[in-house]
Formats: sequence, C-alpha cells, structure tokens
Amino acid sequence: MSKTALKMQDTDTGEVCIVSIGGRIDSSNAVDLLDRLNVLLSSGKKTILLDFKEVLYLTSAAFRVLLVATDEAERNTARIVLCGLLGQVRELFEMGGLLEAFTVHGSREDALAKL
Amino acid sequence: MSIDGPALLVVDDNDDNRYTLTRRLTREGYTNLTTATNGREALDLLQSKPFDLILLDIMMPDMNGYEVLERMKAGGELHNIPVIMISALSEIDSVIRCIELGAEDYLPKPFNPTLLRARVGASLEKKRLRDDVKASLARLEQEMDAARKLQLGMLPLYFPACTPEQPVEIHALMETARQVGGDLYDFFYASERLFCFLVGDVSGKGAAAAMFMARTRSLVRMAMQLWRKTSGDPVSPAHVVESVNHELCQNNRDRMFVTLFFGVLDTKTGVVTYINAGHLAPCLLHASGSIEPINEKPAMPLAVRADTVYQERTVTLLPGDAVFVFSDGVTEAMNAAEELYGNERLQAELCATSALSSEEMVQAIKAKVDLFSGDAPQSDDVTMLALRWRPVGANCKSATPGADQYFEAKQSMPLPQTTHIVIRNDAEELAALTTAMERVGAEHDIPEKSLFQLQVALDEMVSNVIKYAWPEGGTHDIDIHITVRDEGVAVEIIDDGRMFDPRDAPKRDKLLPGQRPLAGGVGVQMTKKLVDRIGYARIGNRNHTTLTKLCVLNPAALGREKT
Repeated sequence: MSKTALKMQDTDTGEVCIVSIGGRIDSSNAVDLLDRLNVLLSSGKKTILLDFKEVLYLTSAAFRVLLVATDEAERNTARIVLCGLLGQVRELFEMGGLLEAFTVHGSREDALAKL
Repeated sequence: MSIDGPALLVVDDNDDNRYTLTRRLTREGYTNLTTATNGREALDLLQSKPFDLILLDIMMPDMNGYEVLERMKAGGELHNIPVIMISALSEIDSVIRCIELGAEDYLPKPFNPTLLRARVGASLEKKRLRDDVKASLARLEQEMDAARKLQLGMLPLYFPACTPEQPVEIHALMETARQVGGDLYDFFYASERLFCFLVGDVSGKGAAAAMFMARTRSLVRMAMQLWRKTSGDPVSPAHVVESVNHELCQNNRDRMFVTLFFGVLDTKTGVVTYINAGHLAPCLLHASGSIEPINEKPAMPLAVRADTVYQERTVTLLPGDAVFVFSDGVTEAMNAAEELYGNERLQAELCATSALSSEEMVQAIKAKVDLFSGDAPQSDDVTMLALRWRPVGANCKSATPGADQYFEAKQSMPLPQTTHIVIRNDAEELAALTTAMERVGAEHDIPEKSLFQLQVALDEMVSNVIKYAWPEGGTHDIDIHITVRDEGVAVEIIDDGRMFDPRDAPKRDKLLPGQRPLAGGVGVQMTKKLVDRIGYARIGNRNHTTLTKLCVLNPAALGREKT
C-alpha cells in the first residue's frame, strides 16, 4: 500500500466513534470513506468524530462524501463532527468555502471535551 | 450479420475437404458460404465483403494459413474476424502456433459433426457478442457526442466587440477532459451598463456533472431575467446567487455542488461587484503587467446549503485592467513528471500577457498550459475567461503589442503611465534606453537602488536581444515600454527576433532548435536576481519579455491618490 493511500481506523469510546483518516482522499477512494461511514451510521453510532490529522490531501470528491454522510447522519439523528484540520488540509476547506458547511473542532482532545 | 445468416469463408486447397465442409455446414443451417482454394484468394475475398467466421487450412500452396493469419491480425478490420484452423490431429504443433498467432480455435480432420457444430457455434456467438458491445459503445459515444454539442452550444461562443457603448473586451474557452464536462462560463449584458460574467466548476465529472452544469447555467440566466422583469432595483449579484443556490439545493441527494465566480462589471465606473462561491481566486491584471489575485475568503459553493447568505464584494478596475477567471483544470494541469502547472506559473505567464487582447491572453495561457502538460492526458476540464475594461478614451481595438495603436491606447489611458521608446539593434542605442530610464526614474521618484538594478537588468536583456536575436543580421527595431505603477516598474521588451524564453536560461546546455544561446548565461542569471519577476510570451513572431521591479514609490510623484 502506498504512503498516500487512504487509511481509516475506528476507535469506539462508547460515547463517540472516532475515525482516524490518513493519506489522500480523492475520487478514486472517496467512496470507501462513504461506505465506512454508512456502515457506522447503520450500526447505530450516534456521534462520529472524523480526525483529519493524518490526511495529506483531499479533492472535491471528499467534500461531496462528507456532505452526503452528514445528510445521512441527520436522517439517523446522528452527527458527524470533524477535527484535526491542519495546515494545507484546513486551507483546502477554506479555499473551497466549505469550512462552515461542517461542525469543526480543533484537535481530537478539544473535540472530545466538547462532545 | 446479414439476413442470409452468418457469412462463413472456407479456405482449403483440397477439393474433397471443401466439399465435405460446405455440405456439413449447409446441413447445420449455414447457407451463406464462400470458398477459397488458397490464402491469397481468401485475403482478396476478405477485402471485398464482410465475414463472420473463417475456417482456414494450414498447408496450402500460394500463401499458407500462417501467412493469412499474420496478415489478418496485423491490424485493421480483419483483426476482429474469428478464425478456426482446420488441421489433421498430427499437426498439433502447427495448431498451437496458429492459436498463438490469434486463431480462435481449431477443427481436427477428419471432420466430426458434433465438434464442427460446437466450435462454429461458439465462435460465432463470441463474434456476435463482441459486435454487440462495439455497437453499444458506438451508440453511447454518439449519445455523448450529442450531449457534448448540446453542452458546448450553451456556452456563448460569440464574443461581442468592444465598443464605446459596450467597452468590454471579452474572450473565453472551455475544453472538457471527457466528452462532457462540469465546467461552465457565461457572460451577458444585464443592462446597457452592467456586464455579467461567470465561471463555475461542478464537483465530479461525466454526465452527472454536465447536467448539473447545465442546470446552474440556466438558473443564473433565468434568475437574472426574472430580477430584471420584476424588480426595478439595480441587479444584486448576491440575490441572484442566493436564488440559484436555493434552487440547486432542491433534490440534491447526491450532494453535487458547484463553485462559482460571478461578477458584474459596471462599464461606466469599472467597479466589479462579485460573489466568489468557493471558486479559485481570479487574477486582476493591471495594464502595467502587475498582477494580484482577487482574493477574499471565498464563500460556500452553491448547492451546499439552501440558506447560505452571500456577501457582495467589489474591486475597482482602472482603464485597461483585465480580469482572468479560470477553473482548477488550469492550475492543476499535470505534466508527465506529475508536477502541477500551479498558480505561480500562471501568474508569471499572465504578467507576460498583460499587453494582449483578451483573446490573445486566453490563447497564450492555453498554449502555455498545453506546452507544460505535453503528452500527459488532460484530467480535468480547462476553462478560462478574460475580460478587459476599455472605457471611452482608451483604444478598443485588439492590438498587437508593439503596434502604434496599442501604444496610443496606453497613452490615452490616465494610468498607468507608460513611456515608449524604440531603439535599433545596435549596442550604441543602449544609451538612449539609459537616458529614458533615468528620465522615468526622476519623474516618478523611483528609489535609486531599484532604478539602478532595473537598469542593469534591462541592459543585460536588451544587449542579449541585440547580440543574438537576428543571426542573419540587418536592421531591426526593439520596442520598449516602461510602465510605472504605485507598486513598481515594469519594462516590456518586444522584438521580432528568434524565440528566446529567458526563464529557460538554466538549461543552457540543452538548447532547442530555434533557441538562441545566452549571453554567457551569467547575464540572464544576474538579471533574475536583480528584478522581482521575469515574464515571457511568444506572440506571433515576437518575443515579449517583461522585467518587473517592485519598489515603493512616492505616491505624490504618481500624480494621483493611492487607491
């Protein structure tokens, strides 16, 4: 597996399901992220925290998946929250005017304290 | 397949074999049969009409089975016709060779009716499926082609002339990576005075993106029309964008979204009111050749949230200023080494086009992007739109830089202030350039050090032109435009000599044909250190080299207040 491939890892604290995402999210693998989130939502998870700390790059395909997943969460009275948006990745959200489209917290610790 | 059933060709030099085979095939219901007695005859027949299957003997006089196979599989239409080899069981090595050459199957002699039925049937079935797939693909391609024409038909391809009443010089292009694309551009006069222009990019690709693009484009046009009909107020870009956004959010479970830069230019005042909904920052290109991004924090793209409130922002153009709006297919164009064309390269190359008409600007950048990507496949739609505001008093003709009319156009504009001199390709003429630079320096109070560095750089570049641009000799003119703005000084050198891009200077050991060697190379390297930017464009048969030196000028010396 290449260094930039999309990686996902779930940790369930009971209250919150944390998904650490790493690598590059683009049109070739964005659907994998969506599938993962849909599985978590349909298994009844109510709060999903996506940690972007290890994400290297993302394209508009990733934004779309996040929007679709957020809709799905709303339908399930669940929520998807983002954290760990740093540097270039944060800039991509800002450049795309999409930072306000999601609930975003600072670090994972900040997010967990607020959730 | 014809109505006579599948067309079969039986090739065998043995009369008995041909007779037996045709009789058995007829008994199986195959009546559309043709026979040949050797390879040459078979190839002639294959050229004259279409066949669905060939039964081919290996050992024949006058071109054997191998040769026929080789010729058929070498390419062209015949490549797709399945071939069953006819052979004695003892010839199994030959059969293997034929399969390797591309034969579909083989039929042992003496002929067994069951095997014959099975193998001919299977080969024909495969051929039919392949033909079906091909036909479906062709149909799909036709559909996509029609869609493409429809889509491109939505984009304005007629660019209204720049006139004193409509003083906007506009040009745009879109090139889709696939048959249909998700980019869009549009422009139109919303009233006598207001010129609207927009560039957008739908997330995703293919047919879905194309349909979303079409929806967006139509909604913007409709919203503008409705606004004009129902409201006496001046057009509010924010309201237009908000209603389009609201509409796009309906029934959008796939969560497509579209980034959009929507601008409205007041052609009387030069004020552009704009909304940037998540789109890349367009470039504001001053007539002097300096450039800046129109870089507010972008708002949310369209179709993300129905209740988004969009804030209008404004930027004021000076006469002759241009706006260049583009999609990420430009800056994310990739070359074979997977490098991106990038924003910096775009800005540098836009600088070099500052003197061009909108059409020339778009074409120059397109050419630069194509040159950069080389053979690498285009992965995203490429869209560019350039507009230049040329209000009354400024020359509206598209001018080739260096032409007198262009100079007059620049002169007739209140700002920026341009000095134009023409020198011959003679080293003694450099003194005239130095004098001109000193005069400009004094007039505008240019800091001594900046002026000195720019002069040295200019001297290097112009000397280089004089020395190398015309190997055949003769007398030639070099046009030099010195433009002063409040952020610095830009000097454009225009010559009709051999092509030379000073930015290629480090690769001096790998000169391309037509490139001229550098004045020791050191000169150009030094020039690069002395000025802040070197721009270059080859337009028509001329080199346009622009040196820009950024420096803080005394605003009073510019004769106007700072904006």
